[in-house]
Amino acid sequence: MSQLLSINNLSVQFNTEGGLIKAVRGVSFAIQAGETVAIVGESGAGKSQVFHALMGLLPGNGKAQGEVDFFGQSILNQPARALNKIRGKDIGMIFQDPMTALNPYLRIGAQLVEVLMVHKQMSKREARKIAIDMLERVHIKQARQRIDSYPHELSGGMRQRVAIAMALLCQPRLIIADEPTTALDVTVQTEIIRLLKEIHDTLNTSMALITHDLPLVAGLCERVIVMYAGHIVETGSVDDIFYRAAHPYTQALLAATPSAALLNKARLDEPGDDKNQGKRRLQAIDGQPPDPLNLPAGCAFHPRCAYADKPCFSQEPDLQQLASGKQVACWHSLEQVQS
Amino acid sequence: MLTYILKRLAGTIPTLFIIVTIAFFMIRLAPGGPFDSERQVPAEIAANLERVYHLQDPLPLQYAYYLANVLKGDFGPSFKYQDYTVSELIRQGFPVSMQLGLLAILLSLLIGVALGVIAALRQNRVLDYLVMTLAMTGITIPNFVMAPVLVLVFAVFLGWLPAGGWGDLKQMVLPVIALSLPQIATVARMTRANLIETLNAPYIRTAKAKGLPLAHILLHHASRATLLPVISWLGPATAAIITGSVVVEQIFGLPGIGRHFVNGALNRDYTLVMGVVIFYGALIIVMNLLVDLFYALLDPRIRYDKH
Amino acid sequence: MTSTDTSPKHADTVAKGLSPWQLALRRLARNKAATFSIYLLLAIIIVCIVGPAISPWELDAVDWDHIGAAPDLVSKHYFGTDANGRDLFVRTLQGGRISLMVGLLATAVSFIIGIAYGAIAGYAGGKTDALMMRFVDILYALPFMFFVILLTVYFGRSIWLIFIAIGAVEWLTMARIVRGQALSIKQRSFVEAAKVTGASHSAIIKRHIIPNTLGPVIVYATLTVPQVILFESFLSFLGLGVQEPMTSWGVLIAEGAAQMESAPWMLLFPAAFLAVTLFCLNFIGDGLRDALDPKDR
Repeated sequence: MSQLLSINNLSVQFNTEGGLIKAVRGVSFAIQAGETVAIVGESGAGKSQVFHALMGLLPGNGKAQGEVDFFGQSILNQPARALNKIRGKDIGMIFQDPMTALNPYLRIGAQLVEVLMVHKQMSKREARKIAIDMLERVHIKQARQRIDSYPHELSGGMRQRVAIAMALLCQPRLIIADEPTTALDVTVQTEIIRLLKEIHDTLNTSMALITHDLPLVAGLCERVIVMYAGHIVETGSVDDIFYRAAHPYTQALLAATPSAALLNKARLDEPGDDKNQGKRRLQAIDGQPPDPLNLPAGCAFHPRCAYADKPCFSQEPDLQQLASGKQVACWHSLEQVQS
Repeated sequence: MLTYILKRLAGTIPTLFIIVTIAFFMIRLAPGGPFDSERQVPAEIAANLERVYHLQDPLPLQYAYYLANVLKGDFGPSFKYQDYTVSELIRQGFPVSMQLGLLAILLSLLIGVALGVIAALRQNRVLDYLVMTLAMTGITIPNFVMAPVLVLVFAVFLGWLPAGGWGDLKQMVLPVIALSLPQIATVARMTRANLIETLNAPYIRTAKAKGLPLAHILLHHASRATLLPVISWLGPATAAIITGSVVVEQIFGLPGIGRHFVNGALNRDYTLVMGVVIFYGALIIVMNLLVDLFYALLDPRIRYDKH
Repeated sequence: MTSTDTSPKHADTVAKGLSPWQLALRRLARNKAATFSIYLLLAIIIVCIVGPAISPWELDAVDWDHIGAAPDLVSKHYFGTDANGRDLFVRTLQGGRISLMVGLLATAVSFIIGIAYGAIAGYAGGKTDALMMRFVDILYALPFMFFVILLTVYFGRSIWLIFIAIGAVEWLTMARIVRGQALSIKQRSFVEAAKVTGASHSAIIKRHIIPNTLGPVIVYATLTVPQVILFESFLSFLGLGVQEPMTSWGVLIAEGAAQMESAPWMLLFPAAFLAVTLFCLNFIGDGLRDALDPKDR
């Protein structure tokens, strides 16, 4: 496998009225060609900001620093003109809320066709044909008629399918899905995840799945990156994370819904009826997520951590290799391994 | 869509009806008005009034006659100009007022939108502050101050343009500018605010993530949401322009309806003032109706979200 | 995790221990244009009140030695005189008193009508609300400027008519704003609580609904004052407003516009006073709006 995306020591800050918010604090990881990675964490962990930064989508008060290489090209903080040769063409992005992510004033056809016309210099007619094919591919029935609908005429799940089709049009090397199921009904969530899995299996596209719902995506992803307060706290294969979680935060995440998580992983491996899945959402973990303006000293998780003691209060642990492909940033899990 | 049109149409009728009714009773009760039995007007006009208002009939019948006349576009004879009916005076003045008003609206839209877009794209930079300060000036300085100043500078001191009259293009420049400046400012501020808000919308982020060039995003994705409120501005703008034209016509001595109106008000020409109020009231209401329909046509969500 | 995490609202919650009003005042104080406008407006008001007493000239005293004279410190005609030899300094400031007074009084009238009407409609809800607001909608569509002129044709031109007419026009928007607020406030728990404890409707409206609508209402009132002043000047400019021997900025501007080639100061001073006052009021209103509702920044 060759390296597709590598992120090196990326930081993202927001200058707000209340002060400087350090949303991402020195994050490094890579995504290989054909790999699917889940980036997991509570809201505020900085997981979306990593990808918004590399796509050049930060709001005006946001600033990114570090190094991002995509397919051998440095893309961080490049001007829009340069980024536009990559965005939408080699990297497709799917957003959280399909209600607002599609332009309510334009027919979905126009929103699909323009991508091909801009990136592939196609004529309108050619582009429309491909757009219809793509809609069929994401299982939209009567695509030939649907393509002339406005977004508000479609259901939430249908809209998200359109958004996925839109991201796929130019056959990108990487798809970034930013909480693609959060805004959807529970039954629709699994359908969308299944669709993403199908796309990955047939097209072998790399995927970065940003989510706070680890169990939901477990069946789709090969590797998991857990973020907390702008840091990566643990990364490893899905099995590493599910069965051998080393960081107390990851453990807490899983402990919240252990059986449902495993149940769901099994379900996705083996498609079936999704009804009556019950509550899969993460249960609350003790304590509050940290105040982004006022991060705790030492390990950012220590106020909520049952194991926290001396080193945790004063010094932030770095990511350390535990086993091959498995890293964790925690004073205690390191001790366990070393002793 | 059709039900929407009918519904909106039905909504305007009570308003028009109220205007006409108020107008009738105001004329009816006016001291020294056409219905005042102790009025002292020339015999000729008195005869006319008698004929038009059926003064001998009972009140409800008089009202019915008045309604019927207004529906026919007949506002009765002028109270002061012996040889004219109000409708004739309005018909005379309307072409001038309409040209003035349409040109002003056109200019406001073109320049206002352009300035607003520039300011929004340069948000919080020098050009933005400059445009917004100018806009604030435009909104704040009323056109009865702006118009004389324009005349003083461009007609008196510089001698570039004529200070009055109507007909050729040169004579139109100053009145149209004086009339449209506050509206240019309003449109510019509105466009700027809308565009800034729209550019923060999630669907614009999607468009950026799709790698579309900025010009394409502005033209295809941001334009509707930005300009729709400007469309609805056209309703109140009509009222503002009409009001402003009263002053501008006065200052530049243009033979429009506005001047008849002011003279009518100063001379207590009840029928003329009333006729103009009804005429302009109807015009404003019709404009508002058209604007709403146009808006519904442009916003795909309205057509279906009704009921 | 979305970009809303970085919104100022979020940041505000950090600064604890301040009431929303204190926060708003603090934001207003940081707005230079608004603060400057407040001081400038106060200065104008004070000058309008005190100024005429300083000048040796009376409002309609004719100075036969200086007819249509340019501004001059020696003759103590600081702003010059008009075509009748009357002192413009005194006239401009006297006119200012009238214009400002009309602005404040008429706004107060609209304020009272609008709040009462809107609060009742919003609190009552249902059919009463629909009917009351439909009435407002109809009035909204009428060409008011023209109706006011119509009224002046009718009742003759007097300053009281202008107060009433303008106040009666401007309450519509106020009513809409208050009604919208009232609709949402009455759902809140403290209103429910008041109902349960048996408070009367009028007590609830007075004690709970109205105080909680004040923010937007104050902003709108601040923006109404310049509109009213403009309205009065407009009528006066046309000769339909304030009448001799009283004067207002609109009257003076009309006189100035007629004489602007020979005596440009006659236009300059009242126009400048009017424009600066309107500027200040608009900046203060905008500043207040931003301070009370910081979402736009």
